[in-house]
Amino acid sequence: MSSDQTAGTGTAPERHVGRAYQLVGPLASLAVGGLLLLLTQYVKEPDIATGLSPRWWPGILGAIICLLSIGVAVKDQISDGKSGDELTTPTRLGMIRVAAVIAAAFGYGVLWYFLDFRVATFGLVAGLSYIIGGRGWRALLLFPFLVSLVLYALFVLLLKVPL
Amino acid sequence: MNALAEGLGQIADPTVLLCILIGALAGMLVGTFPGLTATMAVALASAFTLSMDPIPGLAVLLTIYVAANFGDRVPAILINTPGTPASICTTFDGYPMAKKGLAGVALTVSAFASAIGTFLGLILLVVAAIPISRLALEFGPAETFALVVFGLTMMVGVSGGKIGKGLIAGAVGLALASVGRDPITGTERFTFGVLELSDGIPFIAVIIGLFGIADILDQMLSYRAEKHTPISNFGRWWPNRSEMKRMVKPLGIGTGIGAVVGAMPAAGGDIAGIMSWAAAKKASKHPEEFGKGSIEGLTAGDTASNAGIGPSVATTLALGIPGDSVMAVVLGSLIVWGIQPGPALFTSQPDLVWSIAGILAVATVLTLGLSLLRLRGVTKLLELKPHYLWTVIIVFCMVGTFAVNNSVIDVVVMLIFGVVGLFMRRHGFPAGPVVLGLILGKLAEGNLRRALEIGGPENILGSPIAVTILLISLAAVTLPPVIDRLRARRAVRRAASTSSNPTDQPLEQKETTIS
Repeated sequence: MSSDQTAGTGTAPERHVGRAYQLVGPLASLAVGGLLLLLTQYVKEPDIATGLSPRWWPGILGAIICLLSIGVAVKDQISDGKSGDELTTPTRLGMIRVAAVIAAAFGYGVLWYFLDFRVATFGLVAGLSYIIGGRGWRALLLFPFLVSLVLYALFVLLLKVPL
Repeated sequence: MNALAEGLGQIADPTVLLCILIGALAGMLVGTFPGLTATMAVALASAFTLSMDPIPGLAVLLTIYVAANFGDRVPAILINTPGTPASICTTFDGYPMAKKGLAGVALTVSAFASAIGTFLGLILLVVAAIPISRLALEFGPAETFALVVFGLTMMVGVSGGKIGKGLIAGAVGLALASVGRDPITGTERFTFGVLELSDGIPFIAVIIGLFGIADILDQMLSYRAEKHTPISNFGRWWPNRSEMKRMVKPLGIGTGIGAVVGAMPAAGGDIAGIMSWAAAKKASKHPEEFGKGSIEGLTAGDTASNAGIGPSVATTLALGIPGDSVMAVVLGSLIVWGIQPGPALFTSQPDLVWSIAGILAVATVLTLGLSLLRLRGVTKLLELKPHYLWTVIIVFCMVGTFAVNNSVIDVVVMLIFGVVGLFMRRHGFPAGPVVLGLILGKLAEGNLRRALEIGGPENILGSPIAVTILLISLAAVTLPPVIDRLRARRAVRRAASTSSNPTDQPLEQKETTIS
């Protein structure tokens, strides 16, 4: 990425990933493939006779995912760590923000259950704005108020969605 | 009343025209903000539009698609940052032009190139879609299965050299599609007693999670506040006669390449733009200007990335295989509306095809008009702080996803796939094949099982069309690594021999950025 582009997007510089990091993805997909193979065994066989069981397709896919995962893991490990993957470096603040945003999103679901949509949404927008770096009355009061209002007008009044 | 008149008559409705205007404004805005993609915007908008009738809903979705491909040129030219991947090639010459004090000309040329490209692509949609659909009408289960494999492998093949991870992502998408009722026997699979999963995983929620939430979380993860100042000296706005003359050849090159790439399932405007830029450079009398502010380079790239829209829509409607990731989302919405794209669509609802072509035409004219408005105010938008943008997107994703089925489960699914999407991005797994696999999974499984149960493997291997499509699919995943390796060797050789020639440098640099 050119320096101009880095400045433009405001993201962290790119880095090449290490061997251990490269292994995480294929291992995760291997786990997904394995889980799929395991869960396939619990699919109930139908009462009618069929040439191919409902277990057949997910079973094939599970096996393909496992084989491909092993292949990718081996390829990454024998290719001198040069997978070609370049990732922007996460910042510590970024990781905290992501965790806080996910927590706030799940918290919103709980809050919405107990409070009116407009109040809960105001709280979520103010919370997210604060987490992402908004400060001052405009970011924490005016902006959440306007967003809640627009959402209410759009979904409840215009689209008649029972929020 | 014939299908043409009926189809075009439907878009004359004031509600539809209003939807086109809303879509144009939203799309331009989305394109203007770097980091927001057309796929993300269309995915998010689909949460709103599902409660509308198909034509107004399509008007919003398709216009966002068109308008985002105009708006994304603005940051590409003014701050050297593509608004969406489709405008990567705009930065090659647009930003150098802006640095020379020709930002106004660059914006105008880009708008016209985009509009002409879109229109020429639309003509191809109208001309090519029906013959393609007629051919596809001959397809049985074996050919349909082969076609789904083709769509998936094409998307994997263009996923930036990550063939293995792309295939895994596609297989995971197909596996996700197996949740719910088995397409042949109706047996429930992987539902764990959750009633909402009987109809399968809600794919709008998955799409919004993978493209919307994951995108924002990824940006948040590595964001560092850095001040970037957009170019504010626009200079003159209209190209002079000699500049207009120089636009003609790249317009032709861009249209040709954009049409071919756009018609390929899953290949997007970014690839078409870069290919066209390189081809126009080879064909130009002034290749040394490319990468330094060439009006030909700007025209070629922008024409191609937009000329692909029409053929991409044609592929989606005629074959039922999305032409690119935006069309994958639109395809999902069509299915929810009860419209099954594919060859039968042209006989069952020919008016819909004309309505779609009409929507795209009106959207292009309107967006061209908006693009030609003096864009000084846009520089202010480019300075908008991220906490406003990110917050709005997250909240709209959540409320929009809930609104699709009034279901909390959908919101939970979306958040889970947001986190899954973030993990995938950080570990090099493309999200596109997951979505494509999820949308086409039932079609793939149903047709494969039918083909095998009717006549065994010979049913597939005995069909010349199926075998040809499968061979092309195989080539799509095996050839790119070989080509990449050859290209890398050639680049090393060229760098050694022409290290003193700076003309080739920008493309090499940009290609590295894209990969």
